[in-house]
Amino acid sequence: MKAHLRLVLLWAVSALAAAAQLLPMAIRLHLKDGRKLDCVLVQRTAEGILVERRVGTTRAREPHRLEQIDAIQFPLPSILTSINVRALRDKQALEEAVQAVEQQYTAWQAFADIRGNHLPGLLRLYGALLERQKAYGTAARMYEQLQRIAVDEPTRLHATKRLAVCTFWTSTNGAALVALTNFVATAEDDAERAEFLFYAGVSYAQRGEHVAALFTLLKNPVFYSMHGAWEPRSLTAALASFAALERREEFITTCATLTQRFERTVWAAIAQDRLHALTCGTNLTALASITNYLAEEP
Amino acid sequence: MTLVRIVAGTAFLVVAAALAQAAQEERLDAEALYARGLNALTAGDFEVAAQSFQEFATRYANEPAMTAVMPRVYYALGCAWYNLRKMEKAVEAFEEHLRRAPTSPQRAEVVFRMASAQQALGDYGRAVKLYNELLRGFPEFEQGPDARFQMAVCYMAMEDYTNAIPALLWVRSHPRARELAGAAEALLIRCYLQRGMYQVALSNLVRVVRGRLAEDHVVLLGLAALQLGDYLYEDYNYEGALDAYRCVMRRGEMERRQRVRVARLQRLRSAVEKQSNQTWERVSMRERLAGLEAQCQAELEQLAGMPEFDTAWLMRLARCFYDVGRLWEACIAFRAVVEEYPQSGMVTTAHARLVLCLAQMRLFPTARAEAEAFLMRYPRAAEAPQIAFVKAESYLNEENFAAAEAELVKLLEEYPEHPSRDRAEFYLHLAQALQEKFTEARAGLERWRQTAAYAKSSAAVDVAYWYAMVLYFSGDYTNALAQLTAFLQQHPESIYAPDVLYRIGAAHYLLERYRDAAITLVQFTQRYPDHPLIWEARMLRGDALAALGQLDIAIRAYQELRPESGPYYHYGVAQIGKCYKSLQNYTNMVVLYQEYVATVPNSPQVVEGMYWLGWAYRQLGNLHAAREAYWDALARYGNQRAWWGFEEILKDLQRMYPGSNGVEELAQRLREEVSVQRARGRLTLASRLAMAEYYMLQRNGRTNEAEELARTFGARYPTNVLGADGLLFVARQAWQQGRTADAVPLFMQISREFAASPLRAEAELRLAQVARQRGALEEAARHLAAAEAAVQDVPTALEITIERAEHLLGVGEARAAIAKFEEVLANRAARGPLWPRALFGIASAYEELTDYVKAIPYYQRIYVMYAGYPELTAKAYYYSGRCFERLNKIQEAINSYRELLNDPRLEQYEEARYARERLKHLTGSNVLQTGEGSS
Repeated sequence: MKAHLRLVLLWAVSALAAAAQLLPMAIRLHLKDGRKLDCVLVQRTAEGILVERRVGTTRAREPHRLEQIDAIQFPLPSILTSINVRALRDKQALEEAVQAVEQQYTAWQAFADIRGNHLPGLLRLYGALLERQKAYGTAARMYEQLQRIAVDEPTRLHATKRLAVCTFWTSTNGAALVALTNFVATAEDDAERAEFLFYAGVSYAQRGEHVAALFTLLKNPVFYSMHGAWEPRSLTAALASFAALERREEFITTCATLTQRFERTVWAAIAQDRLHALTCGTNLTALASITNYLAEEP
Repeated sequence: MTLVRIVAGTAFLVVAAALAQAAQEERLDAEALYARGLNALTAGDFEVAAQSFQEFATRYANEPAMTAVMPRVYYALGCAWYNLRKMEKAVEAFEEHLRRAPTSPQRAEVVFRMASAQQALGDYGRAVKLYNELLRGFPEFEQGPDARFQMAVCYMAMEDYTNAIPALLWVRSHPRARELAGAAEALLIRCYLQRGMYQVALSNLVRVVRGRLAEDHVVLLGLAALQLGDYLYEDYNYEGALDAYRCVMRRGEMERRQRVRVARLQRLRSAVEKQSNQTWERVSMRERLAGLEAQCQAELEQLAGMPEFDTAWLMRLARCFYDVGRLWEACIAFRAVVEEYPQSGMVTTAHARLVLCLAQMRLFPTARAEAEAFLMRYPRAAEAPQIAFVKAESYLNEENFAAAEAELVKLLEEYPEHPSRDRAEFYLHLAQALQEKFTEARAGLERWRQTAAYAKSSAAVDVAYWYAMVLYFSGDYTNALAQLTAFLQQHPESIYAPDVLYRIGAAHYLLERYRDAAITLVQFTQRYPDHPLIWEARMLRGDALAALGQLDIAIRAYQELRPESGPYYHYGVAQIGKCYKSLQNYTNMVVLYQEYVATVPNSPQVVEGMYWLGWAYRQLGNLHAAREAYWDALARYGNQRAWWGFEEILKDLQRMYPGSNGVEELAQRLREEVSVQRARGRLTLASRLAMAEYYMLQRNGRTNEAEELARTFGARYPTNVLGADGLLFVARQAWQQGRTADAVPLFMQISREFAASPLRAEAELRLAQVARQRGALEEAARHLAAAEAAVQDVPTALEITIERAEHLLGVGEARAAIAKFEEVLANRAARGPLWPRALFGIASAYEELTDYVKAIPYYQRIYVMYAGYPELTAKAYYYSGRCFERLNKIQEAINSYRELLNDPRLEQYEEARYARERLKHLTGSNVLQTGEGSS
């Protein structure tokens, strides 16, 4: 019991210390009695918050207990608008972004018990950065937390979708197939549909259902070729299923498509490599492991 | 600069000054008129403004005092007309303005408006001229980019794409024209398309769509992409057409985006309209927004008038993928039509093509499922007979001939006028032939050949070929030969010709016309050296020559079976060996096997080669070389766990150590070798040598030593080091001692680990027997089939045949069982209990068929001829008695039971107890009396 209390105390001390970096912060305080106060949040306390506000010509500090607070309108953390996950150029930029978001996330945890905190936005960004880092296990934990704290349905749905994607990347047996297939049907736009088609297709391949894998993956070259890299990624993944089904002709045609249409990309390189192996006499079925076809552009 | 500022700030002062010199009354009228026009213009009441300024112009245009003010009046009048979209009047007013004030500070704006007005009036030539004048005279004019864009639009309206392109290129890339860049991109594609510059149009299209550079122009781009795809397709540029088609969006998506755009444009226009200060730029913007809105609405209406847009696009996409050989993608597009647009007029065609595509991809179950769906949905469609045909054909392609036959029968019944009836009938008989239903196939193909309507059928050649093949495979070689020869004469260039020539040779051989066979086969081998049957033909030619006694030529024929022929090479070497053996040419035999061993050192067959090498040495009297060849074989290959054939070597080796000294010498060497090999960890070889010692001790009556060796064998050699022979050695011991539970796992291990070994046959046989005994008939059948596939030696083959017959009897196929038992009786190699077992089986089968009259003599032959097998004898007596009872021959039955009970050897069997019970039942006593005569 004592140990537990010590832990709680430790958490409280560290969270409060981390919160200090956000303060002071101009907020609009919504109290349960209906009052709205524009003030400056100066301290997070164990019981609630301490704010400073102008009263007449002077500034006064007043504490508010948690049970008095309905919500707080916090200013939007600049990090949520300044980081574009897709635009991060290199590993170092990515690591710096992760560290920055991690710090913010830790600091904002001090306000986890107050409605209006920016933890959902931060978790969303944090998850996306971790995905980009391929730290899918950690990203999955973030999305699980996002699912728990999300106050609106779109955020919860987003968390569920990304969780399925993380499950996809951390399993080798197509464990997320059902969820991914559902997301194909309910995708918000074609780009998202293309992404889930890729994951669902690869999941089918992981389960050894190669015909279904091909009919899923190859929807991307047919319908969504204008949406990012999903066409070459899907064509590359399709090579595994063509090999598994011993579809030599289709395997070669797809390699040719990749080398011609996507010159100087990682996918063209994979196709070139497999064609070379095939020419050197490698058995087609020896080229059927899906894990060898999941490379992404660096 | 605003309209109000222009008119109020500049013109009003001029007007006031001019009017100061005029009469008071007139001045007041002019002032009031001017003020009214100005106020109305400011308030956006352009009707009143136009009326006021027009009246002013009518009254004072030629008034010298008004000369200075009139340009302003005409400017305002032009603006009012322009805003009322009275473009002709606006142009007139603006022209008058410029005539009166050639250096007007509003000149740029006026020229721009005049150009716009001409554009609105459809006089694109004048509009272009004015836009050009504006851009030359006022390169920094604020609306310059729009002027250039509109000029391009005018060029396009005049179908002058050559001049439109540079204007649009300028707009696309100029920083001041950023807002128009998307529209310029979209129009550029249209221009390139119209000029026939398809590749440029395509690269621009792909760049724009992928880069989302013209998101507001999806309909324009979509329609252009479809058109471009069609042009490229007609030029046979399928890859290009695919790229173009894949830039098209679905109609729903385009409509959704277009509606969003219309709503945005409406909001913008409304915001502009709400602004109180209507500058000419704002009015101009409002006009532009209204124009764009109208254009968007028109495009929406255009889309609404194209209900088949998506299906037409998908069909094009599918066709294109099909033409470039990407059938999976073609299927996806066809399926999209089928699943998403079931009401479309194209759905039947799309569905039919989906089926054909799937069949072509050899995805037969999927093709069939789609074919069934098609036939259920559109039974009356024109494509229905063809789809039904594809469905039936798919079974044939899957080699599911029974299902193919059933489906083809159904097809021919449902579509008696089927356009491919000739081929369907041919396929039906082909399916029968491939199920070995030769009688039906033969009759069917004969009927087909006699059908006059099929005389010119494209299937005629196939039918002729398959008719001959049916005769051939049904064993009617004489007629087959005639048909094959006729075929070759009539269709010498047919793709079947090589195969037919081979079959002619083979038919000659099977008819024992070896000379003709050899001649035909040599023709075949010379004419078709790359034919898949070449090795078989060379082998058969060798066999024909050997059968003719032409052993030297036969050897040369066999020598053509080179190592790359795989199993034929091994066969060829074995046959050459046999020829040398017949010719007693052991020297060449030695050379042959030395070469063989050197050529295929890693093949399990080499063990047999080493055996024959040693054998040949022995024939040459070189016992030392023979022994060393064997020891060499054992040392080199004996530790190969998966290999077999060492038993023969070890048996022959024993013959090379004759006499008691020899036995002792060999035993000593075997023991030494076992120790050496065990020390080296070569336990598989050691186990084989130990087994050899066991058999040698057995043969020489040293049973105790042999049993001691067998007892310790299992402990010394774990099952994971034993080869199939070692496992079988241990398993046989257990089996013979009735320890079935110990034997079965070993048989299973052989079955699992030694798929290629012929020793697997015995293991599978035992497993089949065990399975049958516990009633697992399916499992038994599986093991039996494996045994039949693996067996190479006659005794095991006969035992398997017996087991097969007993299995058939077990599953109720008594007649087939009798045939199998008779195979055993017909084989002189069948020894031991196999014959009485076969006799008993036949009797049981007849009993099963309730043919007791035929069953009894078979039982009788057992107890008359095979009394040495008491268990079978007891059974034979008892069952013959039962048969007599069923025939109501009670006395004969009683005699049989009494004979059984009179033989004390049979007392131990349960049949004796049954016989006693039956006897008591029939006679009322169990007194044994000698019968009056045995039955």
